[in-house]
Amino acid sequence: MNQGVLYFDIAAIAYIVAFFGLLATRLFNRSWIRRVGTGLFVLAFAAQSVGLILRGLALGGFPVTNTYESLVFYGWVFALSFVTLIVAGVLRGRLRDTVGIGVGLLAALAMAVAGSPLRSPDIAPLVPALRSHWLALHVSLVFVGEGFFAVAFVTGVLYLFTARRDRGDRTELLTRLDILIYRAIAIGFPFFTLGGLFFGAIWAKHAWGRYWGWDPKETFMLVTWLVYVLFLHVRVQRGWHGRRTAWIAVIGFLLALFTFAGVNFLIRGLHSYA
Amino acid sequence: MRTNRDLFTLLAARLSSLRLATVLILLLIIACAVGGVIPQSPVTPNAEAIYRSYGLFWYRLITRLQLDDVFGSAWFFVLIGTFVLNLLLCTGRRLRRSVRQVFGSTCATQLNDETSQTVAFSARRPSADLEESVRKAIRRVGFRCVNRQDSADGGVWLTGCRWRWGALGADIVHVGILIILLGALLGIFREEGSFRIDEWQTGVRLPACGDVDVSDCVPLPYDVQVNDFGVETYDQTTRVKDYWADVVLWRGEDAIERARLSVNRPLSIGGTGLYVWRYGENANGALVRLQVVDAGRDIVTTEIELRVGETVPIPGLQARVTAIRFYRSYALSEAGEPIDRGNATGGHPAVLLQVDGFAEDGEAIAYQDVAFPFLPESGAESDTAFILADAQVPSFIDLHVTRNPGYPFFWWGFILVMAGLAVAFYLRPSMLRVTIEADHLQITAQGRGGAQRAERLARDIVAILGLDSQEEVDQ
Repeated sequence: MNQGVLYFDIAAIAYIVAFFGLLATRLFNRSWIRRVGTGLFVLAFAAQSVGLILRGLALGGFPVTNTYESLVFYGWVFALSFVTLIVAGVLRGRLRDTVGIGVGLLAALAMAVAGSPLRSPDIAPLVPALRSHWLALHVSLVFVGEGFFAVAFVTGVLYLFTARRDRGDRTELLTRLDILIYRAIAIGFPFFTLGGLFFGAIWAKHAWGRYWGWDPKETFMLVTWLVYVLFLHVRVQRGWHGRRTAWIAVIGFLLALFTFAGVNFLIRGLHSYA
Repeated sequence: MRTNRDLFTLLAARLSSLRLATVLILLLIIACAVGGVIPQSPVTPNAEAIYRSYGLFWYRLITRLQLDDVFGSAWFFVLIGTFVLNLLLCTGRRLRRSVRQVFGSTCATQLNDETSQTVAFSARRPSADLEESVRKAIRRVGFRCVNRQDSADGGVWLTGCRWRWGALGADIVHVGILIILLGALLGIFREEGSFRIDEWQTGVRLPACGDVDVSDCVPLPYDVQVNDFGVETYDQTTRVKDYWADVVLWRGEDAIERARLSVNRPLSIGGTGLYVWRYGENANGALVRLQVVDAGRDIVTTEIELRVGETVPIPGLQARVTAIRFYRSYALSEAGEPIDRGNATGGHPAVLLQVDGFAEDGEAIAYQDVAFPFLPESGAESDTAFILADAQVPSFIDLHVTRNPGYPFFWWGFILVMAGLAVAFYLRPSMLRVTIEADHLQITAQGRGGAQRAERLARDIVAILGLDSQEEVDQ
């Protein structure tokens, strides 16, 4: 049983081509390439959405029950966050295309890792601990938060790259990037807090009888959260801008990635099945 | 010379400073990362062996700095304590300011938000009643608390505010975190324990601290009776879907609660949580049937039945046999020690026996023997041998009991933090200022919705005032 895989394969290919399309737009500045790139991004997002719905229907639940589905969903929330910021009017013009390149690359990477032979796309029965409605709430909200952090990460990398080559005529672009980093994190942070820390804690209380147990995954979730807390404090209260906050946004998302993928492989804990 | 009061004020300022908060958050990040990477000895049973494998230097470093138990170490408590103090003082200071801002009679006069948008209008010379008209227009677009202030260059500022209580967002988050940390502190008084219920104990009322197999006893205000328990598998597979226990709680002669507990479906009653914790087979409670064989004549002389841990006499002999341990799948380790390989497929059940007494010739005997489902071809050291004819391994279920006085605080803390985050990020205060100058009207707006919304507000004001204007937008 591997419902939705065809759509996920289409999405993976479309993301990769969209990435190259949007990259070519930056290099050659042709409107038709831009239209093709954007169209493919939309196609990839739509195919991924359809695949996830089919998968969810087949499962009878939220499709984040194994690493394959989690990676697909992870890639989907990257694109969702990007689309949300466009719809909200936060991302416009050339900045949208530039951030789209990075987000497209991240989504394509997530889909590529999911599609590797090491990850089985088969639907497997859930272990008892995962049979809970908290699974959907916990995982989906964490991922939505991390989707916005991914946009902040891409923007942070762009900021650092642009600032390194600053010729003095990019102040406006740098300001826009700086504000975008803040806005993406400000949107994602409440989702991450609610899903990652609070819903996770409530679920842990239901399943294991305690809210918090310093399990490595919980601990690194807290570390990631603290990094974003640091970001918000130094930016809003101490007025840090520019390179320093861009670095924190980059480090924060790398930690989020490590919490999602690295902890499971490197450190043993109660979340080993996650 | 500084007075004590000055020193106290200085100390309070330092302890409540954002600089200290930044340093403490950084230290917490490092401490938690270290505690997350290094196996923690209370959780990882073989942690010490792991540290030793790193080499003597790292072993000493880890144990001396208590990096093997970061979250239980004294230095981590000091760090958390300082963080709590910082947060408490900072929140106290901020709250005074925020409350003044929210409940004060005047709007704040600072417009420094990144979402500010200024729209400058060249309008006709304002008429005498323009100020009142602007005041009404500001109110009509939803802003209350309109203040008047003379600007530095001879004009007039009319400032309207709304969502002023949004300024409390960060303070609400801080209070929520403090309440969560208070809950964590109260967690010191938590109680945890577990019951093991074997199949043969179903239907029996078990006092929490009675004769049953109880670890870390938690005194409960009720008796627990497990009527039945089992495991549910997915259709046509052996994969476990859930495990459950039908539980009745008794207080005196009254059954106060009947419930089916399963994983993710605990029972909370009277501040105590009851959880289905673990399910399995209890080899230590196995019931074994042994055939006693006269090794010389190679015939079965009798059969006996006993539970692991029990001692029974061997009929026809002046000896007793004790079942010491049951192996679901007997194997020998590399060191030659017998081990139980659990439920491994193709298991070889066996039971370790201790035989004590006197042989037929009156000689005292005391030896251990391992009984298999067959008679070993060689190695019989006695005239009497044993065959494991049958074994019934009872299932067990572990029920976990917790009581933590900090739990209600966690709940309230969670609610406050989320409410505060929503207010801080999504319901920020909005401000609208109209500057009336001699021949000029300037409207500046800030708050939710960013520049687009601010511009729309400014246009609404102009439309209400009915001004014929040429606009100039300052992004």
